[in-house]
Amino acid sequence: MSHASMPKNNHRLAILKDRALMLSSVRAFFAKRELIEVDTPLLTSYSSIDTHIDPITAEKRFLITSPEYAMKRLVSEGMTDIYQLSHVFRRGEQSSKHNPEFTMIEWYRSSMEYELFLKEVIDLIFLFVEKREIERLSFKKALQRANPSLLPQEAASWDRATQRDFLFATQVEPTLGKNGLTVIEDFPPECAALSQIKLINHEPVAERFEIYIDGLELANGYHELNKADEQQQRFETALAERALLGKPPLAIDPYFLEALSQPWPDLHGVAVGFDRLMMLRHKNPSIKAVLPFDWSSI
Amino acid sequence: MANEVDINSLQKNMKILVDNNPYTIVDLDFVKPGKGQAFTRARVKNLVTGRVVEKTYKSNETIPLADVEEQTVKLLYTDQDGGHFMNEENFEQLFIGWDVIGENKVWLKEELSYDLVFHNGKVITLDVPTFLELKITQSDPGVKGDTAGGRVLKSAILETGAQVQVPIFIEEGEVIKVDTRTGEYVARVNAKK
Repeated sequence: MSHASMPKNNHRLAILKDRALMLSSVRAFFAKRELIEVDTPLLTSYSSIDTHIDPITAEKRFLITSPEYAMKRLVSEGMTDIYQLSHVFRRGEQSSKHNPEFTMIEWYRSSMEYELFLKEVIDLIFLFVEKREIERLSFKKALQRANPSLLPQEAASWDRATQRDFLFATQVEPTLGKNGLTVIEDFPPECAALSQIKLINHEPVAERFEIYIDGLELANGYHELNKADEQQQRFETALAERALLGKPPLAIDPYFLEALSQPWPDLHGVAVGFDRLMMLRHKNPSIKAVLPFDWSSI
Repeated sequence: MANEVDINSLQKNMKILVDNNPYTIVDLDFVKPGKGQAFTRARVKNLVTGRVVEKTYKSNETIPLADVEEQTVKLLYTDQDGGHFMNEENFEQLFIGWDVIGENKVWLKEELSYDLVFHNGKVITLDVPTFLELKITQSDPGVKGDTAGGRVLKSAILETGAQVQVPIFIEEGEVIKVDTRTGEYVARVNAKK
């Protein structure tokens, strides 16, 4: 090894050692709170279904885009407070803050009030970065930060949801958690995914939250939907949207629907991006820097 | 019908069609909100005009590829209609009109190599090497004392006809290295022959 490359390599190895430290810190965090670790399969016969998330296939199966369905099946069997540190896979998601394979911290809490659950999620984030001021913002309010006149020319042919997604990603997200930690709440109902919908001033909003620091999305949580028929409907909507976008069809997971039709606790769940927390912790804007090997180098 | 690729297959330097014109991809950025549609923002350069613009694609779009080919050619000679070149691999001769060569006319010198860009089999641009070493054919001697007034450059005409600004100590007959993108003097190459 040449002398010139020493400091750089040392830095890389220091980050990887810190990665190991943080994985064990996360486990200790959950052990202290008496959550049980699970390790559900990565390769499944049914994929998660989301209009805008595409799975990678292998051996006519799917690499999981999230461990959610399997974990919820365990919830339905009575393992209600569980966590998982899982690699997940999303086709085509590659940028300075995306790698198609990444590490997700996912956990579920039964019979815990939303405010307490949100605090738990923020406490986990504060294992990685120093405590900071918390700002809470509704999705609607956050979107007001965008200037629609700055949409690109091509946007004229997009539908409203697509325009909104673009404005949120390019103009709102970079402003979130700039001097603290921002919680976005009360999403529009079409963004509910697997969350429950409630009424605020007669307006339906999804009981879903996202957490940002420095413009980086770190967490995505739900007050989990617990009705099989409504879930089935949402799947069908997503599948119809996928078809419109020219995406391949996906079969609905019958095991998951069956689990949802069982008696079900009041449940909150969240997915937190482990690699993104490492990026913040090491003040590095590139996900590559905190991975042993990124997608393009292995 | 042109070949198409999906957004996930886009890469830097790929040649694509935008409004039926050939562009090269300069830079790519993947943007995805926490929830919802993903986008790819591409900075693309028009291969004919050199203008760089930003294009935003939705994740499900397909992008038509441009049928673009490059060839390295050597200039044999020029005449009133344009330049006569030779492909350095197969020795085929090609004629390129002044209309295609355009402003690059002032960087043409016999025996030098240039890159030709073809779109659908037709030459659309002639690329000049970024740096060329050319002789100064005309420049007035620098006047002593000019530097005191803050003037350190004087104008000079190169053997290809390009007019450039050079430091006042450079003399007629010297060879200089010049940046063809800006026409700026870079360095003195050797002393007066």
